[in-house]
Amino acid sequence: MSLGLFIEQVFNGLQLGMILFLMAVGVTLTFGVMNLINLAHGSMLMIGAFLIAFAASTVHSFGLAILLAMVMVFALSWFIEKVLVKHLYAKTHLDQVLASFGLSIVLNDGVIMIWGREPLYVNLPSWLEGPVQLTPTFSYPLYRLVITGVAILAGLVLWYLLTKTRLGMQIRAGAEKREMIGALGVNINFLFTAVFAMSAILAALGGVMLGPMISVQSGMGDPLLILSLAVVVIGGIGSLKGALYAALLVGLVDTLGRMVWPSLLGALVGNIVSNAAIYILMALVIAIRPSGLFGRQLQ
Amino acid sequence: MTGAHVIKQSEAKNLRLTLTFCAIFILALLVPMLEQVYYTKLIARISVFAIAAVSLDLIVGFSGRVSLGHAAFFGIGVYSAGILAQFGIAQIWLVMPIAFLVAGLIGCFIGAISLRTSGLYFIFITLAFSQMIFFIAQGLRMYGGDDGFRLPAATVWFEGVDLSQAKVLAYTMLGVLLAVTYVAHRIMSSNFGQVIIASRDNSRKVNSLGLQPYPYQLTLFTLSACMCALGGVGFANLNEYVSPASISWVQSGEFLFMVILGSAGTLLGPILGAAAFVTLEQILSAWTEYWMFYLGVILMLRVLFLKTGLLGLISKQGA
Amino acid sequence: MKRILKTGVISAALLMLLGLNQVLADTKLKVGFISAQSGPLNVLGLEQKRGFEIAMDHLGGKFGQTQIEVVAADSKGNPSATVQEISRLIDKEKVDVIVGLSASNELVAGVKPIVDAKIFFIGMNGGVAMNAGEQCSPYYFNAAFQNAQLTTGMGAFMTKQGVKKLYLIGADFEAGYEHTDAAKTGFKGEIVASQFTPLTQLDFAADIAKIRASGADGVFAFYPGGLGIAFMRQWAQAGLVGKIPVFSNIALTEPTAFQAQGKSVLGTYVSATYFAGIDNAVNKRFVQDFKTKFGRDPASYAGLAYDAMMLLDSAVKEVKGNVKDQTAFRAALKKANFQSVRGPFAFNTNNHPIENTYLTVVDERADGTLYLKQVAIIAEKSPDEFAKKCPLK
Repeated sequence: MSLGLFIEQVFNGLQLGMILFLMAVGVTLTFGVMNLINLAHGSMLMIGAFLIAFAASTVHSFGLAILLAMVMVFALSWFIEKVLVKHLYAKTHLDQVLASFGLSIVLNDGVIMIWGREPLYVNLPSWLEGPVQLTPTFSYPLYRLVITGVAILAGLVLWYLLTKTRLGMQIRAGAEKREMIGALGVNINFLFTAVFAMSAILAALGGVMLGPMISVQSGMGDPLLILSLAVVVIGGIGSLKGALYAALLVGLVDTLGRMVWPSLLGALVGNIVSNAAIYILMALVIAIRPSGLFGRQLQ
Repeated sequence: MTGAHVIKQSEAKNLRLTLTFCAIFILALLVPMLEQVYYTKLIARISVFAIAAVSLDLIVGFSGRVSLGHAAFFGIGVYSAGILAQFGIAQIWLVMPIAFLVAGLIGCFIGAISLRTSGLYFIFITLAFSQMIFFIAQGLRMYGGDDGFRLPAATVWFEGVDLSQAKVLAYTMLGVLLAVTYVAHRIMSSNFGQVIIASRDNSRKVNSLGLQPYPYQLTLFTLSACMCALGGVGFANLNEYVSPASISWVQSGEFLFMVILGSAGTLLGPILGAAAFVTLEQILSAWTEYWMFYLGVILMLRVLFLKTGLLGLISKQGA
Repeated sequence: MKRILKTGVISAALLMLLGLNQVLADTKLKVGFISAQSGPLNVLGLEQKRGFEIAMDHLGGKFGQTQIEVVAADSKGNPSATVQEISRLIDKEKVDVIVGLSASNELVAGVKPIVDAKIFFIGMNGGVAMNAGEQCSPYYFNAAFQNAQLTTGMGAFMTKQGVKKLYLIGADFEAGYEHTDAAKTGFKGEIVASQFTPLTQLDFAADIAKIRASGADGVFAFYPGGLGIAFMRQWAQAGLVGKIPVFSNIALTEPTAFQAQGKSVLGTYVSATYFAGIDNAVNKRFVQDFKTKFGRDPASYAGLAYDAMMLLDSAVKEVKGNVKDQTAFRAALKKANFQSVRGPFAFNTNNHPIENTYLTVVDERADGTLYLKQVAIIAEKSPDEFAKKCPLK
């Protein structure tokens, strides 16, 4: 394997990792703060992609389209939380799994009812297409760099929100120790709605960015949902630092692994291990160190 | 006086329940005689899923843990039937026990690791294991990979009578369902079952009695995996096809749906749940192409607004 | 007691709803149209449905004097769903004839239950090798092409274009293997790599990186539907357009994909058994009406679906609607007494087509829209290579 290929794959792994980070942050926050397991998270990514496709065909500025899509996702997630999700906080994990599973089915079919079965395509403005020459011998698609950059930016905004604002402090306290929220005298309803909406926006942002690269269709977020669950487990439930490091780790291990395993283990076994590696890691973490890299022990 | 009255009432209820189920079962036995292939296959399909749902109820309803990975055991049954048929082994008295054993070995391994966790972690680790099994099945290029392969030979009872015949399949799977449910019922009514239920509700009390729940739970989990695989053998024969699609987490989710739709912790409830799920699927998809949407709505309504499933609505048992 | 009654009533109602469908069945010709409307290959199925609709328009909903009743089914691009839907069409809907199927993995699973039930099946898209060879059937007529026919001659053409090191890449299913094999035939250079990616994988970053690093000077890529669209978009984003030439067949790029792929596919060489530019009166009418209804050129899936319906029409008209006389119906189908939009068309002994394979290139019209321009006929009235393995005469 050449150095050029290796470097390109590292970039690809980081890009995958940043998308996973956007998904995983939402998942870990809802676990940590609301003790809510939400299998409809992948559908939020999908909705983000559909809304950007819709917005981009209606308004002519790509930037405005992104903003429009984000606003619509915010409104939708607020609505979903108020109407549906808030009934789930007090229920068992089984109920949450099933209700959110039902919600994801509803959303996945819902987009078909509105937009049909034809995959949608988002065409990027021409200045985002094409490669950028990083070194005389190595070029990399500009758009993938943009995705990575936007995700990092989102991460920084999130970090600022969580460390420098009052709401952020309450969220972090709640994620660390849920009992503290009550003691802090915080408006719980508002806090929970805010956390849910935030996680939905992050997932949708991932969808918005993936849309132009692959096709926008029903169920596109589900494979990433399962992977993001693995990320959250490995990083530690409730830990944001864990979500970041684990996401990058998973992105790199997955991408680089696909090159390494087949040559180490042969085509057949290598292919299986390439796909299963992250889940093997996930099971190991749960079995040996359930709190993950940075998480706290759950009861 | 009132005590005796209450006991008589619950005995009466049990009698009513048993009679209702006997009636339903006899109905199910009569349908294949109508020689309508479509309805006979429907009975077979319901039985296959009911077996999976009953086996899952042992874990969800009685052990109090949510397994998001039971489709893996179902898939082991499917692939056992297929791979054995590839090697020319199709006799039912070989195929079923082998599927049972393979699922038992793998189930024991998975259970041994997973049962050390509980709650959210148990959900995740069962999911992780079933994903691993999914990718193994998908990666078996010689068995069609993601596409899978046609079942080379239907599982046979004896010359001329095999599971490719709809009536034979329906009666066979109804028989297996009956056996599985009976065994599950006997186990859960025994002392073994009492330990399981007690550890679900209050594990410390169980420890103070000098018992470790873990071996009991592991045995039950293994048995549940074995039973689920028997359903898988039926599924392979129903479709005459073997593919990894039966091992997805969506399939595990559907099994959970059936259990909760019917009422968890009742054994009979999941049978109702499986019947309701399959019937709803057929009716809804004939009516609209967006039938998954309505199925999802029904699931959400059940979870949010009903405290119990179908069996509970009928007889006030279960959850 | 009340509860038993309630349960009884509810179960009876459910059973009645199920049975109602059966009662409403009547005596028209019931055609089961099964295609991938959802799943990874639904672009194909959706386009087949469009071609089917134009055919129904032209036929006025009738085969001569026989009313057509259509029962639609979704094969979802996966064999397991295909088998279940076929069971529904045969056991519940009791259709008289089945047409369609969009992908090779569906065919591998779906053909056997149909022919076992002694029902005629007319395939609308690429047929797999085993059904053209050892497992051919008197009930299975493929009106489209055998997979290898679509790519025949590509190998020799690539050599002629100066490709010395070829990278083969495709989707990991039966058609993927058959097309990449056909591309190897006649190619005289070195095969650098032969790679298959899962049907559900839409992110080709790693694979494109490998192609770039391999030093290949030509790529043959078999990616139908949404996969082809994703691959070419990412290929363009990686800056490889014009650097390494891409060869394929109409699966990769044609009118269904043009709008999404944009100018990045200009100059791609694509082999086809059908494309909108084929010059005959029947095709001109089909393309015109398709354009009026759907706003763009038809893709191959639409043209082939249209042809299959016209074939069925000619056969049903000949037996005057009596498809139960299976010997007569089979002979009528075999005659292929219809005008194909593809030009010359006849059936071989294995019930697969004898037809042309065209080589086209993606070109740009004056108004900026893309279209497929004919470069050559690389196979003329040729059969598939598996006919000799078929026991039918």
